[in-house]
Amino acid sequence: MMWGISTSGGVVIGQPTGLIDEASREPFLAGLRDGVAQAVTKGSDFVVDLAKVDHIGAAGLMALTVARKEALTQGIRIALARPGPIVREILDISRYHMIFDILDDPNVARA
Amino acid sequence: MLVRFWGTRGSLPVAQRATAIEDKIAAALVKASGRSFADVAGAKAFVQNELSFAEGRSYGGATTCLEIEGGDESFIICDMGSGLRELGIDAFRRVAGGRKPLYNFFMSHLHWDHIMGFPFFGPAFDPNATIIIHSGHADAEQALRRQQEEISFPVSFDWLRAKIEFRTLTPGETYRVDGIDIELMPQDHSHVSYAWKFTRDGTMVFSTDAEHRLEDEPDKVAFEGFFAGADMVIADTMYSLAESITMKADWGHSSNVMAVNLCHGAGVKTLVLFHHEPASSDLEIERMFDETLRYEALNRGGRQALDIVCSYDGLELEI
Repeated sequence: MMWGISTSGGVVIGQPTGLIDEASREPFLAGLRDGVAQAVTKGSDFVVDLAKVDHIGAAGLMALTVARKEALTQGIRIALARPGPIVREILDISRYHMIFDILDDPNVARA
Repeated sequence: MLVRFWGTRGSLPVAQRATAIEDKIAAALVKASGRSFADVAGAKAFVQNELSFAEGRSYGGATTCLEIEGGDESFIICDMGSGLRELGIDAFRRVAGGRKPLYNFFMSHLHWDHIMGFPFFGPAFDPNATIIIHSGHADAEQALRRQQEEISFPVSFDWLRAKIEFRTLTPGETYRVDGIDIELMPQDHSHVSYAWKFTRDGTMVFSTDAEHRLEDEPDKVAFEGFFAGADMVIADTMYSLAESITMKADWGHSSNVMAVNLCHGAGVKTLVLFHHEPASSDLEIERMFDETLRYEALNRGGRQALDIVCSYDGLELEI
């Protein structure tokens, strides 16, 4: 997994690429935590753009869970964006669409 | 061993309302599309082969009770949910046919939905019956006596005629009961619950009312170890993953996703989805089952396929 981060329109956007599995759990979680921290500093939302993620396993769901908890604690909103069909299916099965906003455009964090 | 499911519902017994049956019949008639059937057998074949399980049947509504066939001579029973009432009736039939009236119970825990069937367990009134209740809890007798106190129930525990004995077992030990090797393991649940492992020509693990948290690595390691190589794991899949980490966190239950993850990690052959949410309709349980199959396929990687079964009242599975 590769991790990139940028700011667009006042929104911090994290962009993982590739496979998020057991082996990439720690770097993915570290990236998410960094994104949360940057969003806190900037007082913005944090969006995880999943467009380039091929697959997300249990370790990736766990990392999202931890990041969500930390974001809520620090008073910022975390959203997911542009999951591909497989990732979307895993999020739906886990019912993560009930606890994360899932956006079509990562630059439009606020509905 | 053979596992017979007498109660598969979590938390509270439920029954189909009149409109639910009406809806199923109406939908089946529409699906039959004017076909006629020569007899009941023909109609049953249509129900079994052309309707989905939820369309033609029901997962049932009795709370936790399993029977394991495979001991030397006794009835081996996990938990005393409302499904125990029917097991008791069937046990009388089998005892009349020559079966010994000896009952070995193994208790996951003592919450209401797991003990409520005992006051309705006919063999408890049989003076020829022997009932041995194995538990990880030292207060099992107190729980059973308390639910039959006058404030809760008209028939006192002391009026039961069977010889009833309580045995407290310790995690980490292996016990031989009626020819089956038995181990138990504490689980995260209010007042603790226990998973039970039964081994005789195969291994079955009964693990209900257990909360497995995504981020809890020691729990993952411990349960993958306890489940390792099991032929069958019967697991608590009451909630979705999202429910189990948000509004229903710390309620002591787990999800289909966590069950698949643990069984994948442990190299289990068959996962049985169990302890169904009482608010779920048959169609919702069936949808959860289908989604679990899909999740398993998406996350299998290079592993051997995990067989998944959705339990229902009346199901029998061979190990």
